[in-house]
Amino acid sequence: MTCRLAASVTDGPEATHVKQVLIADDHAGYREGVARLIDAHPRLSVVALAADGTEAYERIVDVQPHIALLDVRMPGHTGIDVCRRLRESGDAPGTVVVLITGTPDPVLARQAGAAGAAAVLGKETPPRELCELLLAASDGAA
Amino acid sequence: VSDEHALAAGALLDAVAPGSVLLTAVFDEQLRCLAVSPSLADPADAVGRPAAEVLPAPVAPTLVAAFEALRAEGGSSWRRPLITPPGADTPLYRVGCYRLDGAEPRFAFLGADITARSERQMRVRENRRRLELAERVAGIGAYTWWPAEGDRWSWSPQLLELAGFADHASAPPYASWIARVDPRDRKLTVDARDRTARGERIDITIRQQRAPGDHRVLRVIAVPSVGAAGDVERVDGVVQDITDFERTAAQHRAVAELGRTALEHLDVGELIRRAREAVTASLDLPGVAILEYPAAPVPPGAESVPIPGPEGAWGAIVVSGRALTDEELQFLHAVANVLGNAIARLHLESELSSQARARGRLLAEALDAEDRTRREISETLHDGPLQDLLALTQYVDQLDTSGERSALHLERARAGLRQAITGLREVMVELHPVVLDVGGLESALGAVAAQQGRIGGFEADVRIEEAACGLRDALVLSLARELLVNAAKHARATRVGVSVARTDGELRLEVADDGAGIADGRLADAVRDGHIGLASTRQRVEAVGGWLRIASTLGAGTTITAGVPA
Repeated sequence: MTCRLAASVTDGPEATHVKQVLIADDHAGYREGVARLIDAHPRLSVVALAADGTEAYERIVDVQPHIALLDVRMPGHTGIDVCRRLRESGDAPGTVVVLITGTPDPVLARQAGAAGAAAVLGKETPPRELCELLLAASDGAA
Repeated sequence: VSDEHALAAGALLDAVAPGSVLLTAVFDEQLRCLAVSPSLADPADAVGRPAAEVLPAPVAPTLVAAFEALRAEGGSSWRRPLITPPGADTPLYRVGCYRLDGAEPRFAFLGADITARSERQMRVRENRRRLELAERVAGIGAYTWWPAEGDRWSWSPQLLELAGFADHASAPPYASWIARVDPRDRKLTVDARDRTARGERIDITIRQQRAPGDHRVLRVIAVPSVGAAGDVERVDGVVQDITDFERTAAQHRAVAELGRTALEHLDVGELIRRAREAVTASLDLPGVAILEYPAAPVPPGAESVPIPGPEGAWGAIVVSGRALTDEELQFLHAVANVLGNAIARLHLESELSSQARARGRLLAEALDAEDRTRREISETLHDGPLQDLLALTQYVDQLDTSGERSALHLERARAGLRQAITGLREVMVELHPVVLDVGGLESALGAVAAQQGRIGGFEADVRIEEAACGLRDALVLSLARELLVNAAKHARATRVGVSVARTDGELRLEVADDGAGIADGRLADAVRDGHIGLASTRQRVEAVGGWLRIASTLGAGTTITAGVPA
């Protein structure tokens, strides 16, 4: 798929209220579907995609998005691992991490919180709700 | 000599030993009576008469012959002729015939009726003879010690023999006796003598080593006799040689001990080592070997006792160094039998247990393989169909819902998708919670417990120590799942607690429910008959060197604890 990259990643007056989003999920169908949904939101812009934990980490450090939406269970590093490493390294201080999972679980939620994630969402969360939650998480962090 | 003189002399002689049965008479050279004691004959009648008429009739000829012999020899001399009583009713005399040399030789007769004394003496002699016989038969010797007189004591001949002083005519000096007591028991022996001197009864066992290999065990019992003044007047003791008794008793003990040892779960090597020790100690012989057939041939002069086996002799106990007594051979046969039985049993047990181990291993491997398959299926479901369905929900949410019919269809589609996702998640948890990889044991076990709680209608409480995580998560999860499935199926519980802890190098999993429980006698049957799927859990735990314990009370729930090496 192709995604509309925000015209002003680093500058422009619009940039301040459009949140740049990175999406990482090893399931291509879900990754691209959810990217299309998020990108459709006026205040959200998908700037990067990743298919595993390792790639996700590298792209986040590289792109420094406002929001990183990471699948919990991915090859390489899990979403929780990536989140923990980002917090510990300080490589992306402005990025808010939100985790998504196909198997929601209270223990996972606690572990994600401890790793520094802003929220853990089920993958079946409806698109509008998902976008609002991402914005809320990002605004909360700002 | 006048009659008065004779009478006076007779009275005087009687007075020397008043009340005695001393008989006296004095004769001249012609053996005519000069004086006689009234106890022998009436002096008035006897004086002047020949000795043959004065002396007691049964013995007169013997005495007269003695006097005649003395008269013929001349000088002062005496004879003590032997008086043999011709019948039991005849009085017995101890007599002496004396020739008193002077201007005119005189012949004197001294005699005593010793019938009663002789009988007493004979009884004493007979008793002593019987006592000695009894002592010999019982292996008992006796002694008497008079503490007031220092070391004075007397020993019976049997004691001299059994205490190793057969070459002594009488009791040895105390120091010689002590010198032959085993140095380890000398203090005990001396202390015991002091105790008897204070009026205590003693009963001690002491050892003697007479010569190399000749060990003796003596039991000494001594009883003090206390006089009117409270002093110990004498101590009477008996000494018994209990060497054989002790040896036999020790051999019986050794055989019994070996039998007990054989019932413990020892290996054959250890059992043989103990048997060898027992035989060596009991026979006091260094040359003891226990051989398994086929073995080197028995050296000449050695005794060999076969150890029975299920198919002919298993081996033999071989003893060399000296010839063995019948009792010692019997002892060896007893040891060989105990060994034979134990070895046969141990072989059988080890065969059975290796079969059981092999069975357990196979089962554990089968269960591990099943676990792997479940995991693969679950992961495939998670990464494929579940993600597809989740992606699909996102697409559905983007569809146009402007028409009324479209909205209705979309809502149905959404509900259908939600149901499919929920169903898929349930199946995945049941197969293998994929969150184990990400959320660890706590997350996976929590998911399984919650699911089984929904099925069985109980509230699940999961507590997992952090130190217990990450070690054998897959095994612990699998065991816990089996136990929780069990509880959901059978327990009718309202609450089930699951805990995983790490103690003393092992992981301990406990699943405790407050359900119906199992009656005491039915537990084993239930496990064996497969009514509760615990047999496979047990096998699996044991296959990795762990254990499983089931505690249950009818009406009060069941607690199952499993321990596996961490």
